[in-house]
Amino acid sequence: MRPIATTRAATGIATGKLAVWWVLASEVVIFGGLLASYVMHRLGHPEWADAAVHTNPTIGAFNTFVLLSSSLTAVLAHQAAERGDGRTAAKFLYFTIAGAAIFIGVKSYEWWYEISHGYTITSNTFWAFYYSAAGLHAFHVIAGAVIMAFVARDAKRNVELHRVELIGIYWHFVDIVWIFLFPLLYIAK
Amino acid sequence: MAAPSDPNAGWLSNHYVRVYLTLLVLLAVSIMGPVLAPRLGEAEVPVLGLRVSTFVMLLTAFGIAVVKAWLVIKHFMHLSIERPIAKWFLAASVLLLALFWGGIAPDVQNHSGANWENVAAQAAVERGIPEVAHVEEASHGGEADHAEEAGHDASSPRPSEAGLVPDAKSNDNLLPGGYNFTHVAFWSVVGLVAVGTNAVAIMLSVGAGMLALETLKGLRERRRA
Repeated sequence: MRPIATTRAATGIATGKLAVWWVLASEVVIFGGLLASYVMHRLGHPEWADAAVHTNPTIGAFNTFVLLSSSLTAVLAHQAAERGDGRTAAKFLYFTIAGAAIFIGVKSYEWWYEISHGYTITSNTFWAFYYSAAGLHAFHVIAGAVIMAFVARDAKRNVELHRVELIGIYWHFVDIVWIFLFPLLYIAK
Repeated sequence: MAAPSDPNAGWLSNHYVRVYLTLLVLLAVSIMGPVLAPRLGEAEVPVLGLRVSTFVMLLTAFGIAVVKAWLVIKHFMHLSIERPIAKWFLAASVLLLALFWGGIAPDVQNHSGANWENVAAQAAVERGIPEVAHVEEASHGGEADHAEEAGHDASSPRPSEAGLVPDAKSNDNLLPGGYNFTHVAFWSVVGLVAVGTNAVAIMLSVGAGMLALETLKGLRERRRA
């Protein structure tokens, strides 16, 4: 008997992957709604430009580099899994988790600095959006890294290798969200 | 979906590494664009009515973000070779988002319209602009430069000292109905409601979807029988 996630495919797509796409479709609405609300308010409130200049684009750019690199290792893990090389897949997944840890570490420093200088979630509406959007994204990064650790543990033993692709798809989505958050919060002053 | 694999290929000949390097080049352009854009002058872009500097800034920031996202979706997520149903899921979400934007944006981006006026939002803008002018004046008058140009500046005044953070009262009634948009309680409630409704919606959708798929599968098997 094969695992149910690889056999049930009434739509021509494996159930596990179907669920991942379904989750991502709902995530599009969650993040899209938040970012769309931000853009609407930003266009209606020119005074937000003053708050926006205090975000640090260097840190934002570094974290973008980290996430893009972690996306590469995630897809290389998928490539290894397709070859049936679970150990290599696990190795690349651990690199991806390290990327997540660096991202969260840098983000923590950034928030600590901003909060210690008085820019908090209640300072004004710009900062409320900033912490909400970046915080929701950081939560997804942490959740993805935790799930990836479980997938990597199995992959190392050449078990459930199809899950490497599933967590990879989720991880690339998290990367895409940051690709849009970066110009919105750090570049567009 | 199968990923192209060639274990003997060198790093630079790996398709994914080439896509990654392209993404890094685009990242560099998106960082440099806003830095170089102000040097392009005040001339206007025909038709769009935007200054060249603004146009280049928007193009390098958001245009490149779209290209980067497309590269990740196509090459890393393999959506282009995925089954149509995955594309339909995402397309439905994007359509829902577009409807949200179309229905909400005109009232949020503007602070007045036919038979309505968002006095609190107008006041927030009016209150904010003098604060901007105040900070710019202070910045031009002294040695202090904008923090964003050199990263964070520890010697810069705290926002509360510089007048950047309005007092609590000035944020009241920003939205009609007395909601305080900057209060943590507001965002907590919004977050809980958003997460709760989405969780329920996801569970119901998944359940309904699976039921429909099973039904279709059953019908198909009966026909075959």
